Amino acid sequence: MFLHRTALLMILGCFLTVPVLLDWWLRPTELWYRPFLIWLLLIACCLLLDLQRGQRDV
Amino acid sequence: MFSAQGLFAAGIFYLLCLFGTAWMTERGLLPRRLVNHPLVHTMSLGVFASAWTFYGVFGIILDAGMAYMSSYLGASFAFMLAPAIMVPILRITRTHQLSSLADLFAFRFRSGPIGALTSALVVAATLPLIAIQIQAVADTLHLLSPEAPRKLLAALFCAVMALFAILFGARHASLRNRNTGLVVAMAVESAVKVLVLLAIALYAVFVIFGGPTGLQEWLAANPNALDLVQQLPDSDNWHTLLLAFFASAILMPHMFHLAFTENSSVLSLQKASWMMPFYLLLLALAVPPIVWAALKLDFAGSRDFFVLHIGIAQQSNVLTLLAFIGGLSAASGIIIVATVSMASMLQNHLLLPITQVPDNVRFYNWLLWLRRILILVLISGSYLCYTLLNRPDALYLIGLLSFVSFLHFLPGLLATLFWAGINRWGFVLGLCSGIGTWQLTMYFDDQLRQQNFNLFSDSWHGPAVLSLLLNCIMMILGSRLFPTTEEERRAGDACMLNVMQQPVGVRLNATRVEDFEALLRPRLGAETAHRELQAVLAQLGISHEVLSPLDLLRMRTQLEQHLSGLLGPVEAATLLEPLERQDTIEGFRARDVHLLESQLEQYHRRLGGLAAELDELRRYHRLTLQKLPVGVCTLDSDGRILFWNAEIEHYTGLRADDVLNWRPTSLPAPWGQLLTEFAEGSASHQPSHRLELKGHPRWFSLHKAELSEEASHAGMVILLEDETETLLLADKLAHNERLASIGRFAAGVAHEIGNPVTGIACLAQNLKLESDEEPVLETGVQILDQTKRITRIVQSLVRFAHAGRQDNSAQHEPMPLHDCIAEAIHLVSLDSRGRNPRYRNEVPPELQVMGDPQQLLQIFINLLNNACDASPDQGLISVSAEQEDEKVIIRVQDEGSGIPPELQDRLFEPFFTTKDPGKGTGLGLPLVYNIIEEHYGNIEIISPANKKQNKGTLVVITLPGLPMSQL
Repeated sequence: MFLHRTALLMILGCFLTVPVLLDWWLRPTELWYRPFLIWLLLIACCLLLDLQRGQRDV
Repeated sequence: MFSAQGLFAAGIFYLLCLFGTAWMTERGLLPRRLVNHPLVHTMSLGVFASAWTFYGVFGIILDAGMAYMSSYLGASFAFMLAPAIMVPILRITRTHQLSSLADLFAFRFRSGPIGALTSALVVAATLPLIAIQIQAVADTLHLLSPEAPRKLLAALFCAVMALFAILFGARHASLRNRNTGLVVAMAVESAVKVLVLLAIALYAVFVIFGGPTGLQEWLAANPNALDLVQQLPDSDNWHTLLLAFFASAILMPHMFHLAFTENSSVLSLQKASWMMPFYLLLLALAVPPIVWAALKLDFAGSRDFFVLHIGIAQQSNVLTLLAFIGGLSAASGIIIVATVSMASMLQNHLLLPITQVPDNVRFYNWLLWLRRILILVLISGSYLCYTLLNRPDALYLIGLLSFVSFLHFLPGLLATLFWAGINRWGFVLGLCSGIGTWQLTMYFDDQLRQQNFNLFSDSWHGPAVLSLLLNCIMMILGSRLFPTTEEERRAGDACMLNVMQQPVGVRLNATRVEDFEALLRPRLGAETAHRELQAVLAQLGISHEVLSPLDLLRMRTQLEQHLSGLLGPVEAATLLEPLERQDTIEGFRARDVHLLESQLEQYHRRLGGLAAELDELRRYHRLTLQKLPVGVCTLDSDGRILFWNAEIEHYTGLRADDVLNWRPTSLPAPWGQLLTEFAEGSASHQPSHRLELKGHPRWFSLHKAELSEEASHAGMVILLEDETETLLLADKLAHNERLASIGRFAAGVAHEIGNPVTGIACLAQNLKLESDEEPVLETGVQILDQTKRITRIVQSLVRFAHAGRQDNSAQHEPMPLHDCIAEAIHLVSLDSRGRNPRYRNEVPPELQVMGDPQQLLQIFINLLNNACDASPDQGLISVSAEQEDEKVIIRVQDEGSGIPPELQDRLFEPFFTTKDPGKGTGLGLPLVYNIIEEHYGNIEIISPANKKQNKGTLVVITLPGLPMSQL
């Protein structure tokens, strides 16, 4: 029987850590657009990953 | 305020533009590059932004501050993880032609009831969501034009949506065809939504606040407004809500339809991993400025419609109309796509299994109309739901119930991708217990019964998380406690991420295309069955009538995928089930092994670690067998050829690609009979079997062994060894031995005969002294002649005997070939037996050979004598020679009658002669042969030498010449 242990562990890890990260992400600061900047940074990371992946339709 | 007619006209105009876009796409009026661009498809995924994100979010931000981002962030995470979650789903749906979530689960768990259950739950959770969209549009209309008949306008809106869904979402009977018009229209809608919201936000910042600085100043002056937006609720509700939106972005029917069913390229999902989060960021970014603008304008109306009120408060019809169009596009997108998707779900999983297609209708049309009717029914159902919504806060409550319901499909989906151990019992138990607990706790929650349900403060978080936990636990328990069927296991492997699919070990009851057609005809009708089969044959490139086992399996798989697109995976599997033979065979099956190997070849680059090393080992063993200098052929448990190596290809002239999967009986003669009889026989060895191949005899040894000692039909390996060369060599050795024994015998005979003959000759000579009578003297002379003849025969026997003996003491010395030939010619011409041939010695005088002069002279005398006997009167006998490296090639050619081909093989046999009795002993050429062998040379006889005149004999002798150093 095949089981992606790493993937399942990651899902569990995300479930536990994401709320904490979100609280930090969205905590009130003077710069109201701070959460959006962090969001933009994440998007930039995804864009970089996509560019590295190239144009292959696998 | 707007008149009802004006608003209606604006709405209709916008929807007509949408119709026009879809129509132009379907007609091919838009550039194909644009239509098929991955970005267009990615943009269409913006259908996720429904009325909830366009209107509802403004109410949420006032209640829960930054928690309004949960819907945007949840969906963003889903898209960011697209390469890990959505791309594998796309691969499965694309490979197996699955068109909905119900199709996916029905395929994974090989169960029609699971498809039906999923469909029912999805429809139950989606209809209220569609009702919310209808309510949002109706409320907007009511807000902008209070005198407008709300219900009637809502009904009209529903009718237009149904028309659009039917025209552009149900164009093809098969769900494998893409509705490009629908995709482009949804992309346009997504663009409209984001542009409208950004335009209003920019208007708020630049016109109402006078620019970003103005906004900052206003925020500094009104810290409450900033706090209102930045607050985070105390409860953890919004965390769970975020997870629910994460699940919804993948699982909701409209998202599933656009992300997987209408998508044919992984590229668009890869682009979506950053494009959709960016799209959602733009939408989310527009919300706070609009809220602050509304607060600045002291707006006191319904909180959900802030976006409309900016325009109303500023008395800007353009802005209001833009907001209305934006809301309309947000609501219409989800209605159209979700309805189309749910119609296919209901068709495949609820209606087709229980209905029989009437004989007198065309199948494709029947399917299309069925789906169109379902679209109408679903939109009517949504409208009915809308009319039943009587509480203003119900929008949130119902939305929550729906979104959390979708969350309960998430464990099943993730297990489908990452855990092969899940089975149908685990899935059903988990899903039912999860959704059941959730709905029941919510139904009996007194807090929810009261008015003004608050999404972020009411205690729904606990039941939601507990029900999800229960879902997971029951799923694992159910999968562990209940057995998994083999079919389910195979489907599980097919769905697993990065796991190579095991070949399906089934045998089919069909051998011809007609067998498939006969199976499909009763359900699909003759025309449809024929058309579907032709499509499959064309796709696979199969043209022949009788199909090989591998073709059969490929055809069955392809057909199932086509039918899955038409009827859903369960119906397709049920339809093709009679093809599968029930008898199971143990051991290896040729077709399965070949499929596995071909998959491994494709998969080679992606293997890593232990798997890669094992594959290397497999390749090494395979190569060893392939290059083995013995013919190897293995038969599978079904008696079909599994392996055919290079050497056996060489022996038989049959290529492996042509004979794999055949039974040995199908092989051409004589191999078919040989291998079949040997495989079926009891003997495991068969030495020196004689076969006639291309007119020449060849001998093969066969050996076989069963692949498994325990199982009787586990297949066998057959070895084929070519023994022809060995046997010919043994024959030659035996022949030489025979010659040697003849030689020894001849020497003995010669010795025994020689003495009495000498005595007879003496007595005959004495007759001259004993008598003067003429007759007696004549007799004496004749006796003497005959004894001379006997002596000659005896001498040649002795010479032959000497030549046949390996005499290592013989001295080989350089001798001039020309002189040797000249002497031989001289000697032969003395006894030309009445013939007068012309001799020509063309040997270069300087040419020398290494050998015994007396023996070489004997060779040429014998050869010239033979040539002389065969030549006509005045025939030319020529002798030529040339040096080639260290060899000398001598050619003796005559113009005689030649030697018949059937006699040529026997020329060197002792005592074989074609001459008249008394004229030849049959020892001349054997003697020549023996002498030449002793000289490490060889002799070849070519007859006829002159092919045009078909006469003459050419004898080619190769003898060692002088070493290169002495030349």
